[in-house]
Amino acid sequence: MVAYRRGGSRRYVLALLLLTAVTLVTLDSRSGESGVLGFAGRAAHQVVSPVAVGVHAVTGAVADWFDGVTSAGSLKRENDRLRQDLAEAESKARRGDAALQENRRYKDLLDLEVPEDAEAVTADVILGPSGNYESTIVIDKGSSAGIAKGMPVVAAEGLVGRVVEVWPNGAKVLLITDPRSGVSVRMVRPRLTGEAEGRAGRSTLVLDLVEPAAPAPRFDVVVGDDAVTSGLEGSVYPPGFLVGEVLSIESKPGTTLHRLIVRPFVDFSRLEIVRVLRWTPSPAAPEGR
Amino acid sequence: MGRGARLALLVAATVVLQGAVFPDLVVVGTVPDLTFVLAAAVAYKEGPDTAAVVGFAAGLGADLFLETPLGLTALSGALVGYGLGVVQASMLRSPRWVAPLLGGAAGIAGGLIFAAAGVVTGSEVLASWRTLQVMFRASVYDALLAPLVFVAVARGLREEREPVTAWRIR
Repeated sequence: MVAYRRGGSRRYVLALLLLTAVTLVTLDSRSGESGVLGFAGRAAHQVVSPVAVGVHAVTGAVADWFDGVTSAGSLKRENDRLRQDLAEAESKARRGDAALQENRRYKDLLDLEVPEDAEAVTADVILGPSGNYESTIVIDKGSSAGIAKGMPVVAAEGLVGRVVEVWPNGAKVLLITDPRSGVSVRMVRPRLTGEAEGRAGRSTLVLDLVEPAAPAPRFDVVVGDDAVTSGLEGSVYPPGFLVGEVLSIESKPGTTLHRLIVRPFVDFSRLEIVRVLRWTPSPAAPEGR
Repeated sequence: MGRGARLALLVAATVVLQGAVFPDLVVVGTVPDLTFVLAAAVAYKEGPDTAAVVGFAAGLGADLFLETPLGLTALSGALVGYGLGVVQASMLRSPRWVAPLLGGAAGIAGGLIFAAAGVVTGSEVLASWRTLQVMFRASVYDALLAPLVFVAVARGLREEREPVTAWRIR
């Protein structure tokens, strides 16, 4: 333990550091991703990316090994269950064509222009957020794979987020659960639109909907209803991607405002593979909607 | 290797661990704030001035990986390092659990300063009970990691004495 006896004469060190920090915060808030500060962030990601990939490979292997050890007893039961699932899947596959046709009719009905043919880049998730107050992931594909800032990111279960930072061999994705993220969504039934926003430290979204005026159908959203991206003009996400399902509804008595808590279909804690859509929003798109 | 170079190495190692390793080692939904723990360890070993500089440098490195404005973690790290350096100087003796104690305290103090500075700079989302819960969980993680960081800092900054090879009489 150090006995520190120097008085206030050296406090200028602290004052200088604080002044520098405040200056940097101000400059960064103004310049955003452009300029020297934005470049420094991308360079840092690029430098540590190989380390992150290596660590991810090691931790993934260790986690798989632990899973194998701890679940050895249940492997036989799981095997039986998988055989049963396979039989059911084969049965479902036979009904698949009919379901696809029904799905197309459903989308036509909703006028959803899903860019099914949009070119996509498949990427592995290599890192979660490095801080506790943001919801981001880092993927292993970047500008050298054609990924650019603003591109939407999806998984098999639904919408994941959008690219906010990109470097040659990786990119950072802001998840839809981040408070700085906002997704323009449309309820599948009834067709009400609103903006779903993330909440600090939570895995759900909040969506405020206003009850339509009298001639329109009454507000009949129920728990379990699905929300999809609306693709309204100016949206940064293409239309028709599943966002989540309604978990609860809070209605204020005497008002037409309803607050919906939406649980994303994607389990971000287990996300391993994503697809980045080479789709860019119209120039009029505001930041993060 | 000089003392400054060894401190720089500790800072670089912390930044790499925070940016590339611990995001893969999430426990109960949180990652540790290694920056603040390093600042606490240096404060304990070296005092407030050095700890403020180290906290600032490590925080600046950590900021490069975050979406919050660059400089927020640096600001918090500098204040945590300086504050804990002043506090430890007033301690009459070193308790047995000083490392986890200071590590946890650094996590809480750093988190509070980070959230407060974030709110001032426009990140209103940081002003919530949820943020406090996350902060508390992260500080427990910090406390658990602190003994390792304290040992690394103590060894990294240990003075190497030149061996006496012969007596010389002038």
